[in-house]
Amino acid sequence: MIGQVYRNDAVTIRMKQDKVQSRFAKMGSAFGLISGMTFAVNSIILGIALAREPFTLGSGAIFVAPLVAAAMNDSMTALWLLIYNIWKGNFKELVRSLKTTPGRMVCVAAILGGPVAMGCYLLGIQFCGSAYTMPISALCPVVGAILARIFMKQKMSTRVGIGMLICIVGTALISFTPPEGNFPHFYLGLLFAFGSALGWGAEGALATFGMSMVNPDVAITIREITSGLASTLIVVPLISGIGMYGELLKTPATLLVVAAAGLAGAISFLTWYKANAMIGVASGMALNITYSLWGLVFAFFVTGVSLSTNLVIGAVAVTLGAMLVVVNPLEVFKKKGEA
Amino acid sequence: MKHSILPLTFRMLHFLSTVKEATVDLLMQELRTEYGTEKQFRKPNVSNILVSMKENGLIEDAKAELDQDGELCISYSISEEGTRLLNKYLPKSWKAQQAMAR
Repeated sequence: MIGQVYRNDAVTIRMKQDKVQSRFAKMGSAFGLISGMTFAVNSIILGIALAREPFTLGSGAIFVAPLVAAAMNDSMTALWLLIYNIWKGNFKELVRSLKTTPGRMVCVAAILGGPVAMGCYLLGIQFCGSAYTMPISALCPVVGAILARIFMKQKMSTRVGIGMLICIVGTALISFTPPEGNFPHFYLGLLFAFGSALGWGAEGALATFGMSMVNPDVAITIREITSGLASTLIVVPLISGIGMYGELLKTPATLLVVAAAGLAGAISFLTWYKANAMIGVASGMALNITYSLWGLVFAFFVTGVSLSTNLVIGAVAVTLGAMLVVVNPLEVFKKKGEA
Repeated sequence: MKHSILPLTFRMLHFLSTVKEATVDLLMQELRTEYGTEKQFRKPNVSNILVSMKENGLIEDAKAELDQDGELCISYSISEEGTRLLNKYLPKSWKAQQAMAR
């Protein structure tokens, strides 16, 4: 208590303050990194699910399957997050948050990030493979920066500009290499991958507005519930996917795979929003997008996908460029020097 | 006027707008009647929310001191950005109450 203070050594205070700050920043960064890794795991498990029945059945399955999978993935993620929040005693907080404007803004962000971006992302994986979709979708911080510039009048620095240029060059490197697998709709897939970057960028910008006054655990749960409901109740009927959705419910083996993907997704989203709240959205997003690298690493070891030099250089460039967009390396070194 | 309970983070920001500055202990003491029975209302969590709000520029360190046990004791105050967001998003019933208090 302020009134009971008897010793005030400025140096000790400063040291203790720095210690608290650094512990908090380290924890936030660790969450950001975990979010990137688990998002890659989520994508790869979903890829495995998409190769199983009922996703492979029927002639129109190629268009319907990724969106049905996205809807089920979001619903499973929402379910895991709901269980987590009930366990944490946050259920009341969830209802309260939904009654406020910031809470509702998270819902709007959810539609953009969920049905729109995730749908595009999975269509991208279906049409041009995850090794290509992941690095392109990692352009989302660039989109976020552009939207922040237009709608929030945030200035764009030279550093951000250079970072974006590196991203674009990296993406071009990835896109100009045709895949070695069988992807007849390769370029359509690339287009969908860009769509996902657009959706997630818009989500990031909008959620930043809403999230500052809502517990991140609760915010991400609102996001996933909205996204799961919108995908299941609007997107699935719209693409005539109810039949496949029903089949999926009757195929426990595949459903279990999607539930596992949903668990990885839940950990990823939870840690991403936590990181955003702890170290700022910019740094959180930078660490989250490392999923394109983790994705390549996991894809290489798990699914044995062949990696061209262009693909690897492009993926590294996109990741470095996007990180440059959101983090000022000079400030990072300055902070390290001060510590 | 009866108003709904705000999310904890939101309410903490609101509370800081009603005082010059507050430590985590003072804040918890004042909000205990509203959130005291909830699992989220524990000192480590409430402290984390405060550091988080500070990271996002909604509040600022007003004073840092050591208490009797040599533990760090920080007082926080609401920032300009925090005040702006609060004015924009605080539900009407809360705004009415705030106006009456003034």
